[in-house]
Amino acid sequence: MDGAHDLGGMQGFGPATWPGAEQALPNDWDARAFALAVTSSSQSTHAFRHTIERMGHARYLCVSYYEKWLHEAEQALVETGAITHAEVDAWVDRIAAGEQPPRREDPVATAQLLEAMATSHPMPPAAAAAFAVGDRVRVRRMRPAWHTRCPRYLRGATGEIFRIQGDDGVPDVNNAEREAVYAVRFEAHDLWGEDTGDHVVLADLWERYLEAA
Amino acid sequence: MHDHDHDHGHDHDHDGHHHPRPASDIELRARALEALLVEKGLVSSDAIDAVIDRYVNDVGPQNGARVVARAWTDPAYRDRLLSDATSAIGELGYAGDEGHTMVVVENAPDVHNVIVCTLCSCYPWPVLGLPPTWYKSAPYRARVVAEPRAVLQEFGVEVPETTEIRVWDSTAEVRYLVLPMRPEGTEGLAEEELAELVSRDSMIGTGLPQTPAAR
Repeated sequence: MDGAHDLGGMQGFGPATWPGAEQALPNDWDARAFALAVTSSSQSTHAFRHTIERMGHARYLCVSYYEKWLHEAEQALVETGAITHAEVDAWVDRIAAGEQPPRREDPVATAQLLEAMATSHPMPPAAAAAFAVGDRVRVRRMRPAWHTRCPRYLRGATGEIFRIQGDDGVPDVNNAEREAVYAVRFEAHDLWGEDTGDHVVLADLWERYLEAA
Repeated sequence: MHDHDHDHGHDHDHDGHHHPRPASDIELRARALEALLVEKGLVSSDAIDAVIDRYVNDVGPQNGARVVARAWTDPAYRDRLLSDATSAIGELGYAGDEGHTMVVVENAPDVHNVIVCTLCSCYPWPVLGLPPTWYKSAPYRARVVAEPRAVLQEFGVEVPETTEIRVWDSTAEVRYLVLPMRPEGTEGLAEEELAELVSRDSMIGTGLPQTPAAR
């Protein structure tokens, strides 16, 4: 889905930082929304991101960061049928009226969750890689129906395979297939035209996003 | 874009989705959703508390600073860090979500690395904790891939014209950490003292380590 989340190269947003922007969790509710999304989600990372991408583009650009995660937590469970928006609305009214929210402890599950959160599962080496380091590649043109990790600003651009990162589930098919992921190196002028500086951009791209150039 | 506190009413829009009440009620909605999920047994209160505690108190840039200081003082560790960052970072006990596959990119006089995620907010949690607000906001994500020198100037970082700037867009599940250059005048410092010089931004690429004189 090509949406408002795909920001690379856009103009007109203003300064990159501002007073207060160094905080990770500006408000107490940011922390709770973060933890709620992390603990409640049973979706793949790709589906998690796609739920946020579907929240409405104007809204995506206006709301704070963890409001997006809060949206994910609620919307994903509504879509599985586990809860309804009306049930959340009802709790809004109850808490606004002064009712104390319930607590529930589950020490065994919490210990397992923390253990899982602190355990790394590195990407395995690529089983089969169509491209080798140094190969020239072009990013394919596309109009993805679902979630993708191929940003618009790279499509059609030519770059060079810089490194083979490993083998990973393909976002566009929600991990139903696996293939090689490559770090591809692009020169600034191949992305933005002449007179745009001499920096380079490196992005990690799945094999199906690329063709030989 | 950086005024996140303004109201913006919306209840139902074109796609028929129900949308929460205005942003001023967002805290209430967070508490309501938590209450509902606890009531239904879908989450537990102690799990939410524990996740917050982990990312507020245990996991943060102090972890990455230890990795950098070790690399500055132990050449064999530096080599392992650059060839297999996931394992080398794991040696210090840092691992897990948003850091499953780590790559460390080293700054040098002719190369300055900067990290971004243009599509969302990918960031190496085990070594840096949760990202600052600017990192996950539109201006940085939009601009740093197109005009990194201008963006770095806004962070007070001047990179020499002869230095190649490499912007790493975290578009897949690899998470990046910048290994900054060790500041001059730190020859006599111990690893723990060096770690105190390593700022979060210096490991993203939007800052430089402090010098001993500046502290």
